[in-house]
Amino acid sequence: MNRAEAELRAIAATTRKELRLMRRYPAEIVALAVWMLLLPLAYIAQATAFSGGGPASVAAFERRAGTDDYVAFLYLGWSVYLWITAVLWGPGLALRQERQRGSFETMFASPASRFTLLFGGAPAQIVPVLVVFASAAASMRLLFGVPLDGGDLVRWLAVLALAFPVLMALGAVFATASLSLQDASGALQISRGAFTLLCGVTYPLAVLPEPLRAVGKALPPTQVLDALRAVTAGHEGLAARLPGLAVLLGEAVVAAALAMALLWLSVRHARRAGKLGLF
Amino acid sequence: MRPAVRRVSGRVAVALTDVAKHFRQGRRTVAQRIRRAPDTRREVPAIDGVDLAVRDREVFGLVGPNGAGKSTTVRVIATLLEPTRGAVEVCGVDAVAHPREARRHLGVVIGGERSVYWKLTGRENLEYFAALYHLPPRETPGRIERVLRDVELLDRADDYAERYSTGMRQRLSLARALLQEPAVLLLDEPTSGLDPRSAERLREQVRRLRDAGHCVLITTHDMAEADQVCDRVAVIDRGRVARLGTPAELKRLVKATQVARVRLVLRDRAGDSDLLESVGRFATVADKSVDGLRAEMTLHLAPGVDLLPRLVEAANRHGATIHGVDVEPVTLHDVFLAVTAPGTAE
Repeated sequence: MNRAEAELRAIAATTRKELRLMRRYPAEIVALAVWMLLLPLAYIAQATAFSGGGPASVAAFERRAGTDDYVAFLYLGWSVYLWITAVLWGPGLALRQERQRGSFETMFASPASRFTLLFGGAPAQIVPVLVVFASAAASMRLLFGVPLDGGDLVRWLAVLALAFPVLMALGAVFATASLSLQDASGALQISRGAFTLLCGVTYPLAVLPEPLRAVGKALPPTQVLDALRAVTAGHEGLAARLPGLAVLLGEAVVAAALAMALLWLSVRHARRAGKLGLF
Repeated sequence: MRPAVRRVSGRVAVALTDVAKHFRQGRRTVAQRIRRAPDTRREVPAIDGVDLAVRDREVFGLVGPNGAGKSTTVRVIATLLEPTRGAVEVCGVDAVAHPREARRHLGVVIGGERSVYWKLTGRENLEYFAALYHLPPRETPGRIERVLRDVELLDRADDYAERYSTGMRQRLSLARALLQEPAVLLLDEPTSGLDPRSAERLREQVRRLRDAGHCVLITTHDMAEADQVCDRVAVIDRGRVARLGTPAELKRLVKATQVARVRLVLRDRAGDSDLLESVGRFATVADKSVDGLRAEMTLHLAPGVDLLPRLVEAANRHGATIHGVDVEPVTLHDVFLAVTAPGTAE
């Protein structure tokens, strides 16, 4: 068995372990599905209350958002929000949790590569993503009659597949950075807050001041969200979004390289300072 | 036990030469770094010039007080810590320059029962780690079966680790370390937190591993355990190997054939030093503790010393009442106290 094959097997085993753990802690997956159902409802009610529900307010929303379907707009916004939350709480804190548990040193003492230790569990993260978007699609279709069809779901899956690497790579950057942070949970909350503000989860970026809008537009989650909104309910074909999504793949490579470099630095420092097993 | 341990040429499985690990004590803030302020942190040696050669088919014990450097030594060998200076070889591999290669010869039990996944079964835990250790897929099921049998967990292999006792989880950690059939096993306080029966079971397994050809390096606070299970023992104190030898050789370092533990009540606090002086004429006072008027002394007795009449006479003279005397052969515990006493130096 050559080295590459051995690492692939290690990645497969890590994915299998993560899937087993997900199955044995089902409350987290169920909570994601229920959150996805409930969270946008409050914002839809709020939007209705603030706008008065008339055609003029919907038209005003369309001028800023490019769509009059505020239900799909909000559901997709919260879908990406919950996806990012799952990434940050899951892979984003995984290394730190291994260290808390006491298994980080044991993993590190194995011959497995750092890449495997960092990204081995990533494929399992497809499950929470699918749960979130399945719950969103069902809620939109069944509660609000949003005309989603098979084509929409296929386009979503294509966007998710192209966006998955960059979000996992950003999660890995957070995972390595969180090893050195005193308060990783605090950093996580700040990241989620910044994402909510800058990426247009509940409002179009057009309402933000120009400097914030520019920052928001440059963030990968915003681009993922824009692509999902654009390909929903026949607004735009997938082909129009492919160049932007290809850029996301490039960003994934850069973020993954950054995460690997951070892990290398972090482990080197920890091996010198004796902090590999400390928390 | 397992018939085939990966053999390595040569007798020495682990060799440490002048190994030191210094840690910086104190903080250096980002602001200090930016303005390039002088680094005022102190360098504190955790280990300082450790030389060890651990052989094949040997259980080697590292004992010493808390903070003496035992765990640091183990972590340096396990490649989890980079030494400040010195050479570390594991089965002939330079573990500082080639840590990944060295890890192929090592089985490490660090972190104890916490280091397994509680929501996975014993077998699933081992499947996961087998893949991390790059075990050939065809051999994996057989190896898992074998190590589970070795640590007597085969009948509970498909239970979640959360349903195991502390001792069983510790044995699962040992099974994990055995998966890649390492020539060298590093066990950091493997019996810590175990009840006497579970601890004895684990010690028995350690002996069987030695007989199967492994080199086992074990750290422990339990001197009886070191005496019972180790072929050789190094006493580490203040980052250095203070003494090294077989348990019998180490016991001979204590200039006594027997040790007496004496419990008595003093007449007054001032009588303490006078009594000690009197006792010191016929025995070496290795240790003493005083709590109010209650005192306990550990005395090292030379061959032929008739303790009781002389002790009674000394106690009477200083108005102390003897409450108990236990006389035992010298143990590693006594060696430990003698070697690591404050003020004792090489």
